[in-house]
Amino acid sequence: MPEMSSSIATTPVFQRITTILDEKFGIPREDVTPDTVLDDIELDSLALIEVGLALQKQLGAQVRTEDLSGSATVADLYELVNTAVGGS
Amino acid sequence: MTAAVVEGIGGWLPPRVVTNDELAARLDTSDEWIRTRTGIGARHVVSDGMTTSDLAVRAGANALKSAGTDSADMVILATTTPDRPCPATAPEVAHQLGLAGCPAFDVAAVCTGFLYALAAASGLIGTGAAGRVLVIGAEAFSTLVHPEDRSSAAVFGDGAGALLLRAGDEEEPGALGPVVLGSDGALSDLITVRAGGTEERTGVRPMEAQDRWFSMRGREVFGHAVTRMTQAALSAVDQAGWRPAEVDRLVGHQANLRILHAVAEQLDLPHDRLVVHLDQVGNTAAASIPLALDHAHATGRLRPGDRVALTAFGGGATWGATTLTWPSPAAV
Repeated sequence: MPEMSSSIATTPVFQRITTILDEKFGIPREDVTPDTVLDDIELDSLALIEVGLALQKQLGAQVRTEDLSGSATVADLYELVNTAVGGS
Repeated sequence: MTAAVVEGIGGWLPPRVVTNDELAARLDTSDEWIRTRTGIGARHVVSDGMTTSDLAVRAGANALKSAGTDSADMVILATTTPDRPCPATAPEVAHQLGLAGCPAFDVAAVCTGFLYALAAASGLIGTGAAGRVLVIGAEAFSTLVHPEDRSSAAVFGDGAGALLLRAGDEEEPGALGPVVLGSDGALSDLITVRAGGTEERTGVRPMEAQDRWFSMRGREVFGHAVTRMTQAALSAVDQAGWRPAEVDRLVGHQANLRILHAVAEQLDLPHDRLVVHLDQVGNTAAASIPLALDHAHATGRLRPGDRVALTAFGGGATWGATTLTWPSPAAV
């Protein structure tokens, strides 16, 4: 759903995700959209947990790391984190 | 209150080194894959006929020598790989060190074993039950790993490290702070060797051939390890009356470089505060913290007066942390 994806892209939580991917894994912000498949940016299974831990620290979001491995796209990751920080 | 104070330190690694390239020659892996995922470049492994007690005796002897003494009135051995299921290995180690007659017992908390052993030693010194305790972490962990398990073979190594603790004052350099410990048995399947215990002997569940070998659910361990090592370190640092930023050296259980980095980031500590030894020896389970301390002390990464935090997570699940201001024991 393009509308939903583009609305996600402007949120602070999404911006936070792209910042972590850029700073920690060298993945340029412009390469990451909500529809980006995590496998395509060669984010390995540990990296997903590292992103989750960094988000937990920055946002105070209690994301269960075992739930993160179910994320296929950046939007999936966003939904997990956004729910955890009390977003709709 | 009487405190346990570090008086001596020693380590010992079996001479045989297995490089990543050697592993890659027989398993579907590569130096690049192992380094990227774990930070490990090589590990030491026992040769045929070499047991955990052999490693423990050498490390223990080095710790005694470092303190310039040949006496201790208690030996505590943290290990996941005792020489036999029964009896404990510590009495044999004490005997071989010329300490026969003193109390000696094993502690089993896998990679947190050394912290649990330090807590036991610290408590026994605090109550006056012991005046000088030799605390050893020793593992022949490679013997638990299936030769074709490429993940575990890349990670684990063998070795032993030891601290000699004596009764002293809590304000002295080398005095251990409160030891924070915890466990969660709901996670017992995360890091395990299923066979060999009463579950097998009484038929609680059917065992298969691979159940006699070590298994670990690495991704889940990663998240729990970072969270628990961070929380335990924060608690220990707080109880020591320090702020996290005042930690000069963080000596985490040497499981994986990415775990150590993540813990440092959670604590807002720069990576250069970490003591890293796993690049040379891999994950040596209960031996990893004393071996990392010994190496850092010998190479000048730890200096007298440094505020040091130790933190670990291991099978059980278990976790623990403590603090000390680094003293100036002789390097052996």
